[in-house]
Amino acid sequence: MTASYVLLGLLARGPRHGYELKHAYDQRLPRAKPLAFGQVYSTLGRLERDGLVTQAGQDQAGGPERTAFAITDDGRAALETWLGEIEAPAPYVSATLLSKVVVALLVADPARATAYLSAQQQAHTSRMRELTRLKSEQDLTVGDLIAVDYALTHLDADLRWLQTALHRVADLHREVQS
Amino acid sequence: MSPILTARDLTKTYGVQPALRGIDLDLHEGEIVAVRGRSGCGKSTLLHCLSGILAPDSGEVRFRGDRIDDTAEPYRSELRRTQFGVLLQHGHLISELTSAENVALPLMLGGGSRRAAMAAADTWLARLGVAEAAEQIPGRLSGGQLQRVALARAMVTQPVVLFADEPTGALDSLAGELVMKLLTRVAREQGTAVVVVTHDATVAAYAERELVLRDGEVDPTGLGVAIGVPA
Amino acid sequence: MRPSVLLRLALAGTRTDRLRVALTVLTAALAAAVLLVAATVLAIDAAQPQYQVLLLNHLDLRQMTSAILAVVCMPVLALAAQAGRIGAPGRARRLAALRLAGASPRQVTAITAAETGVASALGGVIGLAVYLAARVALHRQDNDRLWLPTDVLPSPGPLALIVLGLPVAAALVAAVLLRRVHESPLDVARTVEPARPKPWPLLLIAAGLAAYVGVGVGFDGSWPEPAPLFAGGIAAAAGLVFSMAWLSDRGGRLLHRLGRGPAALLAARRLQADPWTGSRTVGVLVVCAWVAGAAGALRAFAQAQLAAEGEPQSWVHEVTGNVIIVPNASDDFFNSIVKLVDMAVGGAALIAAAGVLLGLLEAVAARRRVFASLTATGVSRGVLVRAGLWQALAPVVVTLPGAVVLGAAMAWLALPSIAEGKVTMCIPADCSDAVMSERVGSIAWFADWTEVAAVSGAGLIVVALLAVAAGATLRARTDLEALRVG
Repeated sequence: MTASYVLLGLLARGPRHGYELKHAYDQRLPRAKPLAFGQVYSTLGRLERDGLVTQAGQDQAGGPERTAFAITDDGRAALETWLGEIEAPAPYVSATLLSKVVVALLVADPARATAYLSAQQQAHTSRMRELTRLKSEQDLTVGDLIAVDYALTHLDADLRWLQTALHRVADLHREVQS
Repeated sequence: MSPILTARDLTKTYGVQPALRGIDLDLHEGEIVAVRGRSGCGKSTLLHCLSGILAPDSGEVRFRGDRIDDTAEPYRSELRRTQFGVLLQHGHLISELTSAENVALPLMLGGGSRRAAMAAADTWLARLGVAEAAEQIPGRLSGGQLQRVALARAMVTQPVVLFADEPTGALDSLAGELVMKLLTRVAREQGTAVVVVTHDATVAAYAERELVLRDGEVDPTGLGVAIGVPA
Repeated sequence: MRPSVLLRLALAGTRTDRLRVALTVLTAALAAAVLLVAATVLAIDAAQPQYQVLLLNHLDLRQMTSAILAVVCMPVLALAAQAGRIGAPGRARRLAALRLAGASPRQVTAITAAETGVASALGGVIGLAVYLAARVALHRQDNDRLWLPTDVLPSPGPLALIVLGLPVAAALVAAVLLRRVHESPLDVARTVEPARPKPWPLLLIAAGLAAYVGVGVGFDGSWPEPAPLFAGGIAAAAGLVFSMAWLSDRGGRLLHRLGRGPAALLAARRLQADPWTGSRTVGVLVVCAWVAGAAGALRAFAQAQLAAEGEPQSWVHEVTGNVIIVPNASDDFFNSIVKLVDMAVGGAALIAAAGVLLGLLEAVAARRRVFASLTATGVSRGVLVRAGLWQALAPVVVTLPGAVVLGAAMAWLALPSIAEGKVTMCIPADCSDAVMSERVGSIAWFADWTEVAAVSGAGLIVVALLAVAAGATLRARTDLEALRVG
């Protein structure tokens, strides 16, 4: 449902056509899964039905007839409420990476666990290198940079967590041995 | 193309604690390599051995095919001054010299005139976006400015290899990003090879490849830790 | 805070701290011994004291001897001040940590004062012991005359003042000097820059010179008043010490403008950035040069007089009209004064040199991380040693010879002109006791220029050697462990 609030946020700066909205969305959230045209119009329809946006005229400048949408007062209120809500930190830690690492350490022999984790770490590292190159070699928009930072920071967090987990296991192992 | 700097079977021991155990490394011209590992893994020692600051106990280091590890200190000093650049975590600028004088110093040590050295320093400071700091003493600069001045000092001699030890260790993430961006950019423009020692994966990601050390050895798994059987 | 805790905290520290305490003990012992000797000389009160050392037999010369001994204390105090700076950054951090741990400023002050006070008290006791031992060892008689006043003890007042007052004064000075440290529990690394030195202490030199010109102009043939001589001398000496910081700053600027090469640049900027450190100990060395210049002039004066009168003479004693009665004493009397001055200057120069060396070593130690990083970037140690040499020599290369000439000139101004006399009467007839002579003119004299050059050259060589000696510790200081410390 986040997409509808992003559309509301984009409309808060002035009326736009669906086509413009789709591009503005992709520009602001460049690393997010792109929004399909159909999804834009279905979301707008839902928002209009709930009275959060309204049609604000049509024009035909050099192309097919397009409908512009504008945010309503109710729409602004809904946006405000959404922005004011704290995102609850996830109550349960669940991610495929976590599960795999735990299982690998549990069931696999050290050699296989090492091989898997090493490959995983290399995949993370090369993705980080790719993103870093993108960041330093091209002139990215602020939206792009923010998105790349988000991805990099999460990859880095994964790696750091992985390191710490491995050191913990190694320490534990050393204690048991001694 | 043959590598520009090679290390073979480097070992170095402090007291009874081995810091390096049989390290091999090939550094090609213009290549950026990260050396990563947790603290105490020997990464700084490796950097010091590669740059001729320390002599290894055994093994050899060759620069352009010539051994440097068994040469006399004056020769290695000259090598560091003319062929290598060194950038450390805290910049280590001389507190009573202005930024421009700090940057000009290596050129003056090489026998250049003060005027020419100062002109080159100004050019480098401008290139790294700290022209406004030229007349300031280091005490008045921010951490990011300091590291950029230190980078200018390391690059002003147009070194063949730049050695960087935790170059962003004392900086916040944006200042660190700027320093790393500039470092990799000028190194690529000059064709300078870089060895950057760091514990930080986001810094290591600026390199084209990385070497992970564990207890003084290269860890081929890249994990930096041996996986034991879990209890 | 219990006294035992106070003492424990005051004497805690590293090897550097122990070195500082040891030097404080040593300087306090030295100062106590010298002051006790001065007090002894002042305590001689026999109507006609008869010692082998002739100048102890005249009241005004005894006062002068005490004054010279007190002057010897000056480099001792400068050495003490320099010793107090050893390990200062480390101590400042430790005191800041104490403040963070909840010590009040007053408690931290008490801890620093206790360290210095206890060390000085110990030094005072050692000085007293040395003095008493020397008194026994030097108690020798020849021809029914004692060599030295080993039969006199200082009166109880001055004795107590020296033995008790010294540690108290030292503790107070330490408390005042470190007052900045206690203001903030944060490390003092971010303190404001030291103030730029001002040239006004040069006026003190001018005042001293003016006093001597006054003495010379007002000379009416009688023994000059000691007060303006003494005051002028103190003013000139203090002026020399206090203007060293300004001269260092100027020397640095000049070196920056004229010097070529990295060593000169490093030295010039270092001098400008902190002209204060070490300027006082170097200043004392310059004062020693100044006294040496005066002593040289005294010797030249004696020789000129000798040449004028053909036989050893002491100087003017009493004047009646234009007839000068010159007691025909042996030259022992005069020589013993010059010898005393020479010894005092030599001792003071030695102590000041030790202070300069300490200051230079401390400067190297405080900057080991910078030196280590310079070495890492390929700067040879030779450049660093040359920079140290430039830094040590730039402030003194003009000042030291200048001080020698100044001392000689001041002595020349203050001493009476040498009468070219015509003997008019002898007492008795063989002139063995005294002569009356009529003044017919005066003989031109000044300090021996070769001696001026020799003293200046020796002083500069000493400074250069000290700088090189301090530079020799660079090898140990530039070890790369320093790079690893955060």
